Amino acid sequence: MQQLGWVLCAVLLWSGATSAQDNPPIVLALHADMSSGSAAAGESLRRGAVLAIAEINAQGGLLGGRKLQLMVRDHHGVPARAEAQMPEFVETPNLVAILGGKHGAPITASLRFLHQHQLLLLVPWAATTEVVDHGLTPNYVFRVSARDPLVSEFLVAQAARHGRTRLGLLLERGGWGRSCEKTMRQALARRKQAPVGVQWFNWSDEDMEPQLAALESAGAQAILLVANAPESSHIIHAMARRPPERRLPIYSHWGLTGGNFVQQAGPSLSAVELHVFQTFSFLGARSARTLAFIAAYHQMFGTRRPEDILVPAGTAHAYDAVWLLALAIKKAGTTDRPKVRAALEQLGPHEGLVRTYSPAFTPSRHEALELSDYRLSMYTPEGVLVPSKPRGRP
Amino acid sequence: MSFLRSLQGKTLLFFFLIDVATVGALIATVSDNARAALEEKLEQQLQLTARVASRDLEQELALKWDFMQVLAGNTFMVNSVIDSMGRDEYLKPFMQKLQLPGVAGDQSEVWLLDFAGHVIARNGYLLKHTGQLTSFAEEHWWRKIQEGKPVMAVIWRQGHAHLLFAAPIVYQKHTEGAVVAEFDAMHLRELSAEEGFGTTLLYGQRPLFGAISSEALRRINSQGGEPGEQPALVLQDTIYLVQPLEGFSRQQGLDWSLVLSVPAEKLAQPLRELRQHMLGTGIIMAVLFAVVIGWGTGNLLRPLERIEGTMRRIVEGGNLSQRIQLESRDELGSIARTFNQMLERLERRTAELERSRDEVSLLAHITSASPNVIAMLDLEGRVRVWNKAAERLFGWSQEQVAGSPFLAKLVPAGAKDVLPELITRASTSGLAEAEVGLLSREEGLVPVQVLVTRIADGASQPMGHVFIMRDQREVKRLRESLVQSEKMAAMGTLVAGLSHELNNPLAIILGFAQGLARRDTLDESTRSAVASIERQAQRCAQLVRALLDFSRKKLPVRERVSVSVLLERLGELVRGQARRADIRFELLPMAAELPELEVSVQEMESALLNLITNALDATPDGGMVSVSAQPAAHASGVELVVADTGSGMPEEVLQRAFDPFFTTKAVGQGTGLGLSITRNIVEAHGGAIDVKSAPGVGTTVRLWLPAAGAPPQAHRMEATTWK
Repeated sequence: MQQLGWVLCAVLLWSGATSAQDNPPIVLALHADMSSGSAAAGESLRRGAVLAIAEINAQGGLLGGRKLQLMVRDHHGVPARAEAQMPEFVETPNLVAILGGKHGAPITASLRFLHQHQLLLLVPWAATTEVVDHGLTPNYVFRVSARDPLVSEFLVAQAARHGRTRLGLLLERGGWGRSCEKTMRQALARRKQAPVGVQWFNWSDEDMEPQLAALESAGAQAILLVANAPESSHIIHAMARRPPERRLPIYSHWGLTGGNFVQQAGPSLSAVELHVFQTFSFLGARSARTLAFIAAYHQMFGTRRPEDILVPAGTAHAYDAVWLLALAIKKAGTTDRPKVRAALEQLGPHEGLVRTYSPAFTPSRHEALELSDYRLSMYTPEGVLVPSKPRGRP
Repeated sequence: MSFLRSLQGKTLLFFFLIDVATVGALIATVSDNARAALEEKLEQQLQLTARVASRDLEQELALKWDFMQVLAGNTFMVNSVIDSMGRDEYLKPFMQKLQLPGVAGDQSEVWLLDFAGHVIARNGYLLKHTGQLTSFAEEHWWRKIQEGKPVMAVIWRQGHAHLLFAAPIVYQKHTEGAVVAEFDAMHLRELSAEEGFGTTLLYGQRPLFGAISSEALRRINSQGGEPGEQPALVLQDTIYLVQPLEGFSRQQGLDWSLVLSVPAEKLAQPLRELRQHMLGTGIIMAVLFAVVIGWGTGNLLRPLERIEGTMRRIVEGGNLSQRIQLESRDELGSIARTFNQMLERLERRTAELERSRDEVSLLAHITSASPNVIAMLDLEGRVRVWNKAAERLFGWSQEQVAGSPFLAKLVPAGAKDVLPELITRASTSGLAEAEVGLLSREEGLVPVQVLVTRIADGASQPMGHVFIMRDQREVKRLRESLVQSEKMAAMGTLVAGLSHELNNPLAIILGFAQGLARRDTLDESTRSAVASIERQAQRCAQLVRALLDFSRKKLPVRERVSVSVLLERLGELVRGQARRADIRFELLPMAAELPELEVSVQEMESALLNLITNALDATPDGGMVSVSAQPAAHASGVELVVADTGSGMPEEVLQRAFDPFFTTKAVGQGTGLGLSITRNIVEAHGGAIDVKSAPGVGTTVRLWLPAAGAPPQAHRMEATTWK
């Protein structure tokens, strides 16, 4: 938190130097878990946003020199906290949008409030289907992130590619877990399959043996995992404690990457076949924009290697989302949120880190990424998440 | 009351008082000791109860507290706090069943709060049903929860203390919610509820449950709440014991104390019951004692009563032959035997005494009844014994002569040396006798035969002299009478012989006279002379026969005869004589029921005729002689009375009236044998005769004759009585 506060202060001071009463900053709020089980995800979002804001402000800001300003609110991934913090956003002057993630539940819990107060929400990390598909119009939510139905399809497909069709679901007991159960069942159903077993765990659960044993006894060849970092590390530990021949491969949603998973999993990580859904990696980047970003990242955050960039997908998504918002503000020529919202639906092509958005959103599509952006990664023994080559691919 | 004066009553009373005193002392000492023991026991019980109750209380609190910690740490609750969108499905059934463990768990309220203190759910309900209480955010303890610290707090709701346990639900070091439980502290009371004890849980100075007076609270607070066992506090009618809770509650920083109170009555009641039991036992023991002692003393006293009864009978009846019938071998038996031995000895002594007394009495009677004078003079000459005969003879009473040298008064002048001389002789020879003349107070000089004997005591010491004196006057008279009697007897014998000798010549004279009288040749003068010879001869013969009858005891021929017939015939015989003498002769009317007599009619007529003739002879002209007969007053017989109004007889004549040949008639007119023969006839018939006479008045002769078949003795007695 101290680090976060320091960074925030730096941004404010940096942007405040050019601010004036008649040229107020454009406030962008980051509403994420900044300190709990997925604090790494929040921090990655913040870093991506900060880098984007820095670039934008460096380029003169928006709307005639108004600087972007980032306010951060930590909701711990807890919906109630998120809801409680929502009124502050409404009351914050010049707040144009909120960056929300990585948890879907805080967002879905706040959707009605967001809609009521025309709070524009950009989602750089939250795959929950209902985050976008909530039925409220106009839709103030725009996602630069994965989408659970696609992730489910992707993971089922990847497991199938590995010859693992008897899949067991291991899900966190929450909105995200329930969303994934639904989409994973759908993905399997499209293949005339069904999960051999569905096991749930609570937040903070540490003993995952019963769930693993249940799935094993159900005949699962692999496990489709929907969990955040703390619980995932316990699952990895539990799996690692099993005999090697009884260790089931895991195809995991990206939730585990949002926390201190590598450290928490420790050596167990290398003992388990863990495939992790990802959308982006700085490893092997070649584009100038990506390389420039990496350089700026190293410069701002003192890292030296691409492997050091915290949670690459979150960082890249946040960076792209802030840029897309900036483009929309520019396009709208105002910070009026309904207009910015409309502008977001009218953006032109934009080269981002994750992909080139052409365009990112449309009035009917508030999803910036698509299945082709999905990739599978695995942890190296050093704990670095690297894209994995599909089996059988040269 | 008389019972209480008895030995048994006194024994019973003594032991009853002992029992009462013992029971009283026991009650006093035992109740004091019991009070001390009870106080100690009660205090120990209070302390034990307080320890147990406080331990139970703290265990109960710790149980609930731990449950809350576990509940808050349960991932289910973590998940429920975070998963606000889908938790209804699984949280609702859980919350519906959720309750605190332990006492009154089902009456506790358990809330699930979110990070801000807002109620997510309450046991049994979800948020929408939680009612008014929707947030604990304003509670003072909430900040601690936010800091991740569990809280135990006391909440006051409507005057009731509620205990609140709150535990943060932490996820990744953040308090994302809390579980809060609240229950009425009153429910804890049942943990410390002990029969007969009042329990109060104090939080500082305020009771969480239970009630306590302000005064007791003040005293308890002044006593302090240091850890460890506290002494009992006695206030008014209640005993208090304060047990500070030292475990869980102290760990929670709560200044809690459990106060146990018990009415002092709980102490007094057992004491009262103890006293009552002891009193009851004492009474029972007293009754038992009374029965046992009564029985024992009865057994003990029964021999004593026998002894006492025997003594009483001896005292009242004087019968020393009584014996205590007691076979016991104990001391009482020994006493009884000793008493019996004493009685035997006393009986013997008494018998000896009686004999001695009888002897003394006999001697006294003898002395008193003796016709002779018996007197005893001690060595100083004082009179010690003076019998009745002495009093009669000398005219001095015992009282007049006792203790005085009185004998000198009896000695006539000129004969002063007579008695000392006799005493001297008796002192030397032991016995002296002499006939002396001594002075009687009334009769003057009396000839007395004196016999003096010296007497000595058991130690042969001379005690004095006994004088036995006999009046010699009667002896002299008897001696003279004996001479006369002997002379009369000789005369009788002489008369008998003479009569027998005269009878034959008289028969011859009479025969010849009668033969002559029958001769016709006799002239008148001769004839008259012959007739006179015959009459005189007849009279001589009759006189001779009378003399023979007097001297010869012949048995008369007896026959039954009516008294009236007998007397009528006699009347015929004497009326002519009475008429000639101008004396009125009356045969008085006789009772019809006069018994018959069985007598010799001739003798009886002779006897009666003799009496009547004597009466007629003694009665002057114009006098009266009467004869009467009546039944004897006291026996079966007849009393005949011949009374006259004649000249009577002086005493000296009367005394000799029945002597033979004693007559006052002129010589030739009486033989002096009439009354003597009459008495012989009457006595020969078993009768009796007596006479009373006074000169100038007349004479009455009474005679008693037994009825036919009746014994004669009674008539003699009757005759004696008449005298």
